[in-house]
Amino acid sequence: MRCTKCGRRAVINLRAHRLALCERHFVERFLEVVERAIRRYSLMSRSSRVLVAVSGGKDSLALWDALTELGYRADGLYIDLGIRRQNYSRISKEKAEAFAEQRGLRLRVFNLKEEHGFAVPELRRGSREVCSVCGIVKRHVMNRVALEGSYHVLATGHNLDDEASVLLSNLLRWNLELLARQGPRAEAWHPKLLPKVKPLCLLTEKETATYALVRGIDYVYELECPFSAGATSIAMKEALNRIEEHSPGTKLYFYTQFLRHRTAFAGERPSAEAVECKNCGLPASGEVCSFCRLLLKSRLRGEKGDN
Amino acid sequence: MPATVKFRGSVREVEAGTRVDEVLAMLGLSRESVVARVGSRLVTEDYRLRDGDVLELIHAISGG
Repeated sequence: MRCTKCGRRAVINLRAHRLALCERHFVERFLEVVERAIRRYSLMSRSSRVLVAVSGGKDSLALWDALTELGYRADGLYIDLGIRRQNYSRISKEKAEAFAEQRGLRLRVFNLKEEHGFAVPELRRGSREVCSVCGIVKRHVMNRVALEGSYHVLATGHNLDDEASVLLSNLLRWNLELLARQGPRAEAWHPKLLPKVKPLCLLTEKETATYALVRGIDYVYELECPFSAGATSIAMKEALNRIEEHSPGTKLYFYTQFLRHRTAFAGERPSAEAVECKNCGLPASGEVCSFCRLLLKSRLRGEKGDN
Repeated sequence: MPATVKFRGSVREVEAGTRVDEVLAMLGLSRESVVARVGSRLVTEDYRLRDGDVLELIHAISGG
């Protein structure tokens, strides 16, 4: 297959756009789409200080690379969750550190075990899924580090497949509250929170993987988080990819049309009260935030869970 | 000599002349979920494998 633009050998066939692209034109287009998402959804400005949450995977490192290429001031944050199975956290951290070092970028590392005495697998309680605990931890730490570092915006590597699969999942359950919240920019509802943005939301997971490989980004690709096996999000992504296989462009249309019409769900969003956690001082929905509740319960149990 | 296909730790051989999309169909994979690489070159799904080629299918889907 030849590049639609220059006739050189293509590295990707974007069926949704009826485009085959060579390395050079693919990278050019990828950066254009990131910039388009940033402008269309008012994700950040040129003067924004951006903190990118990096996991060592393709999406977050591709995002950090793209933002830097586009001239945004972006530092990275790696959260060491302390997952020892398959050396997952150690390997992921090494990838993030190597990426930052090679490009002369600033990477902040937050070690959960060192800071709070518990790793994510130890914070898991009973039947509660690790992914849910992990989400609480990441949201808390990202916000705390971003706030302490005086950043303006927090960027994550969520791509179109992530967004479309969450949308499908929320629709299948008719979770109107989550539908009202979903989008490429989550506003800060408290002075101690930062806006969270998803500049890769118009690019598929295959595109971010291809970008990472073409750009020579060494990311964790043979290793998945050991707790993600059987995750609902993977089942949703596979279902959407089967539809995409049959009707190219469906994922993008599904998500962008939702964004056009999502105001229909606006009334479903409960008004958030400006309460601060009495333990850590960060915004909370009750007296103590979810993160501090997890820590307190783990301390009470003295749990040293399956890591 | 056949071509070799590597995917998530498994290795199999296919006949030279097989196209990447045919390999994907054999493995029940969507072209949306993998990136195909032969040596250090990324290839599109119409690429026809040659004798001795090593096709690596890089899984693009992550969850959690």
